[in-house]
Amino acid sequence: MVSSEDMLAGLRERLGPDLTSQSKDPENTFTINTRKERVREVARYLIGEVQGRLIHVSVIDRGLDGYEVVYHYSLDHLEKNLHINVKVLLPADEPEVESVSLEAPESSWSEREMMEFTPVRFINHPDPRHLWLPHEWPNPVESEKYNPVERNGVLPPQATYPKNSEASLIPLGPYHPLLIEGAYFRVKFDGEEITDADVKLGWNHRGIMKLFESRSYTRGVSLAERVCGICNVTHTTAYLNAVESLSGIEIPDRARYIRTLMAELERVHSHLLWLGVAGDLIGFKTLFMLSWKVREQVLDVFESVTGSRRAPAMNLIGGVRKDVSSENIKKTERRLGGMRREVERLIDITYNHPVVRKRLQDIGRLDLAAAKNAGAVGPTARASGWKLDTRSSSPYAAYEYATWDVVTDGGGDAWARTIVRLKEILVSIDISTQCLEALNHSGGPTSIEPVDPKDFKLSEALGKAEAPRGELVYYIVSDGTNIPHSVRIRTPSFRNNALIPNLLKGHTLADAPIIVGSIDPCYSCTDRTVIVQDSRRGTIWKTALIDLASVRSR
Amino acid sequence: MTPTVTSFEGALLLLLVSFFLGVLYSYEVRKISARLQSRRGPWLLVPKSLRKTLGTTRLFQPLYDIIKLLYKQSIIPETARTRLFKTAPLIALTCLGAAAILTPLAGYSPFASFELSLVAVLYLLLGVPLAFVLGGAVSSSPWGVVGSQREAELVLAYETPFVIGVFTVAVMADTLSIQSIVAAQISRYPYLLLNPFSAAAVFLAIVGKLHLKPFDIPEAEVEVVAGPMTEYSGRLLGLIEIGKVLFTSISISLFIDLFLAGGMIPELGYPLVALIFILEGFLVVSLITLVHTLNPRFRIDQAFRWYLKVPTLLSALGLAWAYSLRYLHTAILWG
Repeated sequence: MVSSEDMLAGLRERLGPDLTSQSKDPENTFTINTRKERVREVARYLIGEVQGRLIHVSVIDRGLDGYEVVYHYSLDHLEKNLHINVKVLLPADEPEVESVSLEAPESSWSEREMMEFTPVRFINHPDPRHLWLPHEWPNPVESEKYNPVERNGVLPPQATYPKNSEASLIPLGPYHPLLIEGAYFRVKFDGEEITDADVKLGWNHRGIMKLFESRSYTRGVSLAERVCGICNVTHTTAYLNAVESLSGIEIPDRARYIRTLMAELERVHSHLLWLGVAGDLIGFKTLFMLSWKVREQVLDVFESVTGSRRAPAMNLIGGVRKDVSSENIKKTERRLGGMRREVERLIDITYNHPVVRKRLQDIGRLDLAAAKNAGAVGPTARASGWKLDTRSSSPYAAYEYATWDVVTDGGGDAWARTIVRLKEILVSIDISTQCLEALNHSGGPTSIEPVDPKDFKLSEALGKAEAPRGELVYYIVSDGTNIPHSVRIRTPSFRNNALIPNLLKGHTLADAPIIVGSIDPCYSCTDRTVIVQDSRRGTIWKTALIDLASVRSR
Repeated sequence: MTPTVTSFEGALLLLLVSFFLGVLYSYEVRKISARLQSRRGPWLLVPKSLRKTLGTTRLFQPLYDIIKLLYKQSIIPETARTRLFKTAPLIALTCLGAAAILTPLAGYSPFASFELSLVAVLYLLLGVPLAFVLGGAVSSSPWGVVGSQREAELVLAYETPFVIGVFTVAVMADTLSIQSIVAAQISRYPYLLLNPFSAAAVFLAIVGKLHLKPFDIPEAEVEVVAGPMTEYSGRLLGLIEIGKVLFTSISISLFIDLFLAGGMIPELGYPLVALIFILEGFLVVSLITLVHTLNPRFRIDQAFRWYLKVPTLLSALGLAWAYSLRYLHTAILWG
């Protein structure tokens, strides 16, 4: 399999008359329509033979026409930016389609998410439980019960009491010092060893994808920025990559460099933050303090360049909000030099500390086959020896202009993931310096006029960016109005979090924090329902909250 | 010490001084680790602008923390075995109180003549982790149970080198009274110089005893919340904190008594000897803090293996060294 032509020929040959239409957009994204009986065959072909990746499954509500299921395959290992959207239209009265989870296990969570949001059923799904809602929904949550109740083979979240300690079930979460954010790992023990683990999400679900459908494209930028506090630049970049390919505009070079600079500084910040947290997870407070001290300098750079420490709000449709002054360029260059030296010191501390090595090596091993099977992304995939980086395979912003290498490591354990991230900090500082250099020697505008949504060239677009945690995907469908018809987000943690239960098995409780931590999970971007608990009334649902609010504001 | 002090008053004095030293040591741990982590830590001398609200010094910050806890309400889980849960901290405190009286400070102990004081102190110090294990196990929290299990495993790991190391000293001094061990060192050299192996073994065991990194496994926050202490709050937690302060102080004092001649250079007279004792204490604490700050946490199996590999071996070496010293001594003495 060498090119997109061969791939398409192969698809045509297999599908025959079931391939109803085919098109290609200027961003090298192919769209094919087929019938719902053939989706598994397409998945078998594109994943098994072409070695593609199923990056997400979206369901678009097409009103009276029914529901359109879109399988996004990424084939950017064949050609840069090569993607293929396989579409199936399901009738509104019977929205059912075979699940592709057996061919592509990585699509399991995507399908569960879509079953949660739309009436579409993915039949024969291996794990059709709720992803965001409590497992028990629509029944009341049983978390307060003492005895474990098996319900469809699923244990509800609960604490363990010594009175019935034959179930050595340890609740890591939803609120546990292991994670500052809400996530619940149901971990089953046999002695010290973890025999089974499961993850439950949805502790902080904010309905952002729905919010997108009621905001104009311009306001969507600031909404995208609020999906995640750590990777906000990447979120806006991915969103804008999609919007800009919808509108068919090319942003000026200077804006590209500034976006790259911001994204890379964000990566430095994120990885330093992670290093500190990882240090804390193995009990190394000193490493935590030292790396967060360096992180503070990145925040200072952000503040002096953008005026804001963590949510720079630099990206706009058509470019960036603000130029970087030559004075700031010089200052930032100097600071990056200092930061590089301090990061090298941190690497030295981490790399040469015998106890750190002991705690991280051979912990949470993920081999290449397992990583590919589960669809790992970002440093987690790269630490398993998979050269997977959106910045090089589907370049955006100014990554094509900079010279740099994708960092990989064959180890696949927590140690390898640490090494990959540490090296990536240095690479990111390098890219930032190159961007500053380019900004110093060039001029020109930093933004161009956006296009009116009714003049959009395309009706749908895929936008990708490499967040510090991995590949981030935005899929936007436009209907010609100033409000997007649908926005679908696939965050990197959405993929990587699904790996955690498998990684935990066979390890001890003491290793659980660092295994979870080594993935660098981010729940604000994975999660989006808040359950309010009242001691007198039990669980308060959303309607009750609205009633309470109206009583107060009367 | 003036001879007018009765042994009861002396015991009370020892207890208070032990606690006070413990507060200072805790402060030192906090301050040094803060400085090593580029933080400020509690002020030693508060800057003038803040003195109105903070006072002149925050040297007694660990004490204020305990006092705050003592003012707060204790919440006891419904499912806990209440009586045992409440008694566990008291057991720990009783053991520590008795151990404090039997451990000479700067050579002073009202029960100086008590022949088996070393054995008694060892047992009393072992009572503390056992009380914690009890408290965690009856607390009905999974974290308490896991923490207690870890605590029990850790005791097994560090107690071996500790006991061998301490009894090596007893063998060298030919007595089981701490007071006489101190006296034996005054007439010769501190045992730190004569037998550095045992000293190192006991030092490393103390790091584990005090739950400092890399051995803070039973209390590892990200893994087991606060281990045996998870469900303790308010006054009961305050008692545990007092216990921890006393535990620190007694362990350090015991180390000084056994290996640093109890700070005793009798020619110098009392105030100076007390000063030397405190300085030695600070020195030992700063070493411990250094270990605490520069290490991440071991996993329990790693800690167990490490304790078997390094400190236990060191203590065995120390014991062999002590016997060979004795043999050499006799050989030289008798030609």
